[in-house]
Amino acid sequence: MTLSGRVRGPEGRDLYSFEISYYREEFRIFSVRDKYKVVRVRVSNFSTTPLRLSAERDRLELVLPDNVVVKSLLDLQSADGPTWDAFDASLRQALAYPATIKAAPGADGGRAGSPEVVYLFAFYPSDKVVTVPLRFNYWIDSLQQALPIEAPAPRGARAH
Amino acid sequence: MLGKVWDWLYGYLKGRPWWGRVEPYVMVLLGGGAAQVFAAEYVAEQYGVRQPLRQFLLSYFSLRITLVIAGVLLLVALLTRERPADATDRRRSSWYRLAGITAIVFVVATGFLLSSTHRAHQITVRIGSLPDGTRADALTYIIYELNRIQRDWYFQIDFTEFKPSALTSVERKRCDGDPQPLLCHALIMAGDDKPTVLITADALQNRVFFATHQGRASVISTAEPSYQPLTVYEFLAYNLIVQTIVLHLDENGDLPPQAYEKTDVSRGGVFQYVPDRDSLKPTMLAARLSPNEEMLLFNRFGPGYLGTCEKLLTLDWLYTPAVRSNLQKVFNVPLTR
Repeated sequence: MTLSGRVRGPEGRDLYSFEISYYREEFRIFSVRDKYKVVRVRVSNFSTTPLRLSAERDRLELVLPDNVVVKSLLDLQSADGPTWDAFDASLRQALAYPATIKAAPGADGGRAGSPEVVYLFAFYPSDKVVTVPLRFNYWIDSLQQALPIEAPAPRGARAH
Repeated sequence: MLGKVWDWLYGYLKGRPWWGRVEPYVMVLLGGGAAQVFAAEYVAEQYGVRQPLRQFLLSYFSLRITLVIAGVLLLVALLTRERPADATDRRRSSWYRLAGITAIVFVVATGFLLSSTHRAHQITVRIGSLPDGTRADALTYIIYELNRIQRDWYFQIDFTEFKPSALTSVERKRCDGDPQPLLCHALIMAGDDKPTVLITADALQNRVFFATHQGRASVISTAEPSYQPLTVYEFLAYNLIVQTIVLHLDENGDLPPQAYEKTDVSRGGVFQYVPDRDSLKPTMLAARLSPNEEMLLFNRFGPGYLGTCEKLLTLDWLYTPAVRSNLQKVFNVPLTR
C-alpha cells in the first residue's frame, strides 16, 4: 500500500513530496519491542531551499478507520529514553528525526535536477494502532501547512 | 682578509705545546657551530621558517645538534685518552671504552627520541548546518584544496547528517545542561580517537561568538556575521585552520594553558580569545603566529608543519587564481579579497 502527498509551488511544480509504503500484513504483525509501530516516510525535496523540520513542532498523525487519530512520536529520545537508548548509534542515527532536508542537488546553481531524498521515521504506540491506517496528516511547522498523505484517488474517479 | 687572519691564528695555535690536545675538541665545536648555521639556513630555505637566533637555539632541531656535538666531544675524550701499556690493563681499558661508547650512543639516542616531534593526525569535519545560501559543496571543495596543498595532515569530511536527536537520552540530557551544548555533542562525536570540528549555523553560548574548543572537539559557528564583508567561506577556512592547530596541540597535551582564556588585551594572536566580535576581522586579515606560537609548533610538529600553518593561515592559497576561478565558475562563489 502506498500513500502519498505533495506540496506544489506557485507554478504548479512539486516542491516537496511524501510517500509512505507498507504491506498491510507486515504492518499489522510487526512492532518495535511490542511497543511501537514504525512508519517510514520518503521525503523528496525538489525545491531550491532546504526544508526545515522540527521533532518538537512537527506532527505526523495517523488516521485509522472511523477517524481515530493517533499522534506520532517523532522524538523517541525524549518520549521513551530507555527504548531509544537500547538502539545502537548507527540505528539511532538512521531513526532520528532530521532537522533539515537539503535543497535539491544543483539547486544553488539554478539547475535543480533530481530531488534530495531522505527517509524519516515516525513511531506510534502499538496498542493504539489496532489496524492499518487509512491516511496520515503531516503538519510541518516551518511550512505552516497540514498535508494529507493518502492513497491516490482510483483511476477514473470523478469528483461529484 | 678573513683567510689571512685564520692562517695567522692557526699558525700561532699550532706552535703552542697544548694545541695538539685541544685541536680535536676545537674542530668538533667549530663543526657543530657550522652545523647549527647550516641547519638554521636549511629550515629557512626548505620550509620558509626564519627564526630569531635565540628561538632557533632553543628549538628541538638545535638541541639535537648540540646533543650530537656533546656526544662527539665525549667520544673524542674517550678515544684520545692514553691507553695503558700493561696488556691486562689495556684489555680492561678496551672494555671501559666500549661501555663508554655504548653509554654515549644510548644517551644521544634517548635525547633524540625524547625531543622527537609528534605527527599531526587527521581531522574529521562534520558540517552540521550552514547559513542559508551557503553551499556545502563549495565548502567541501575548499577543504579538499587544503588536503591537496599540504601533506602534514588531512581533513576527512563526515557526511553523516548531524542530528542532535541521535544521541542517547542520557547524552542529550548531559549536553542540554552543558554551557556549550554543541561542543558537548561534538565531543561525543569525536570519541577517543577522532578529533572533530563541527561547523554549525547555530549560535554558541556565553558570549563565545565564532569558535570554541575542548579536548578532541571544536565547534565553529557562523551565526555571528561580524566577519562580513568577508565571505562565510573565508571565515570558515580561516577558523578551520586555527581549530586544526588547536586540536593537534591539545591532542598531545601541548595547548598553552592561556589559550582561549578571555583577554581584553590582544596582539592579534590566533590562540587569543577577545570577547569583542569586531576583533576577528583584523586577526584574520593579518593572520600570523607569534614567536612563542611558532616555537611551540616547531618543537611539537617540526618545521614542515610550522611552515604549512603559516602559509595556510594567510589564506593566500584561497586567493590563487585557480581556486578563485573554481569557486566562481563552478560554485558561483565570489571571494571578497
